[in-house]
Amino acid sequence: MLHEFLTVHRDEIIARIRVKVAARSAPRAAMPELEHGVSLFLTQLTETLRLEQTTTTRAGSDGIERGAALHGGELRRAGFTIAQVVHDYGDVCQAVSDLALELGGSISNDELRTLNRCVEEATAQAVTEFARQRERALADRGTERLGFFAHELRNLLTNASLAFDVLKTGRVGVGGSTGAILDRNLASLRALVDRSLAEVRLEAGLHRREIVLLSALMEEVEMAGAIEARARGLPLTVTPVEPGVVIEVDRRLLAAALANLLQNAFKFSRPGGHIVLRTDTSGEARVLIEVEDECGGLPPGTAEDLFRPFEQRSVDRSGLGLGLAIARESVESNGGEITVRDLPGKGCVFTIDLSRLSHASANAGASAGSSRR
Amino acid sequence: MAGAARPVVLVVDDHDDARAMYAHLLSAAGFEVWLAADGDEALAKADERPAVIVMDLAMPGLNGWEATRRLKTGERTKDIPIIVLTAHALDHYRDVAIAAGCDAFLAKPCAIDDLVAAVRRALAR
Repeated sequence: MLHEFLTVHRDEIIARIRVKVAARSAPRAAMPELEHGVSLFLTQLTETLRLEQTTTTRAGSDGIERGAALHGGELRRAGFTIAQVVHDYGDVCQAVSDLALELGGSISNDELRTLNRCVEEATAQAVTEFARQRERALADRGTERLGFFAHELRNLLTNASLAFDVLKTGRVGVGGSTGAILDRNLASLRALVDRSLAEVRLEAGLHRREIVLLSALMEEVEMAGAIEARARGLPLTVTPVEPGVVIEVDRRLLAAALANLLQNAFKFSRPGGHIVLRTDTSGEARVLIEVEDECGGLPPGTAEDLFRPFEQRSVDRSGLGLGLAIARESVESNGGEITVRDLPGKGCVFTIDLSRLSHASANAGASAGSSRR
Repeated sequence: MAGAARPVVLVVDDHDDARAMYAHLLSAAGFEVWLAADGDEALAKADERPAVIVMDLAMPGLNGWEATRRLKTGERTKDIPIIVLTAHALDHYRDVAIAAGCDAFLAKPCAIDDLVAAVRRALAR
């Protein structure tokens, strides 16, 4: 009987499943997780088959479903995809069938139906739990982001309101430091709203590329950066931009990406540090935009981690650690690439690498744009 | 105000602009204002016994929750009224701030008149 076969060959079946899972593409299951999930399922499967083969009534599968739900949740936390969850249970079924064939045993039709039913129920339950936990995690992150947005909004609105209250007293002029505070916080409010809209556009896939003059884009980014520079008391140097260079990008997304990089640079540079925004258009086909900061250099081995969502770069935990992840997504949605290189002991340089539009393409695009208007 | 000591309000906030504006407006309302940019600086200045502390919560370094807790368990500072003034406006944050020992809770954006009224209430206790 199949339940006896499963009991006798349990270790061999687990070993075969282990080989199958190990041969799969990343992420791979940690062995304790695999042993726990698979062996629990085999135990429950064996018991279900035994009951069905020794009694006249169909065995309940609550235990299998509960175990599978647990297993589905474990697989999600281990970084698996839904497809891999399905494969995990398919591997169990396959390993049992293969071994039975090799050893010359036979599986009756009833046993085969029960085996398939158990695997199907377990797969369905594991996938359902997997999806439920994933949705929950996404919702939690969405709530956290919304909370952060509201928090930042309230702070900036408070500063602007207080500055307005001071100006209303008539004791200070609009052109003084209070006016500058109002100006700065209103600009930061605009930047916050722009960045949030860029996130929404990214998530909704609302990209609209247009032909953009590099110098105009850099001027826009410099204006926003200069306000932050004054607020932080850190100098920002913007190198001259070669006239006439054009790129085809979603202007708002790229501007938001650069705003994130600059905000990052201001946040992490040491007091008295210096931030540089420069462009390199010496290559015929590429446009490089760089943001250099004086953060003191990157810790070893963290360059790629910086772009992971919710990654925090220092003890300053203000913010959600999403800026660089969003910047990367914005740049990649524009067909570009973003990298970081370390300047040990000094700081680091973030580089956005984009395709440069040839004059012919730019002229053709501009003509097409004119004819459309 | 000549001759009369003005009550000292210690404003703790990591936003430079917020500190500057509170200093201006609270001074105009008749208070002497001390400023601190984080929890550590707040603990140091609180040792000089201001009349009231206005405390932000989310700050780099020692945050406002922990600073409040330490001030309220410190022999020299436990009687100083603490008004939490924060952009964290949800009930959860209010509950945690009250559990840390704050005497009043105001959510940003808060009209300066409301803050002044809260400071006066704290002084009257």
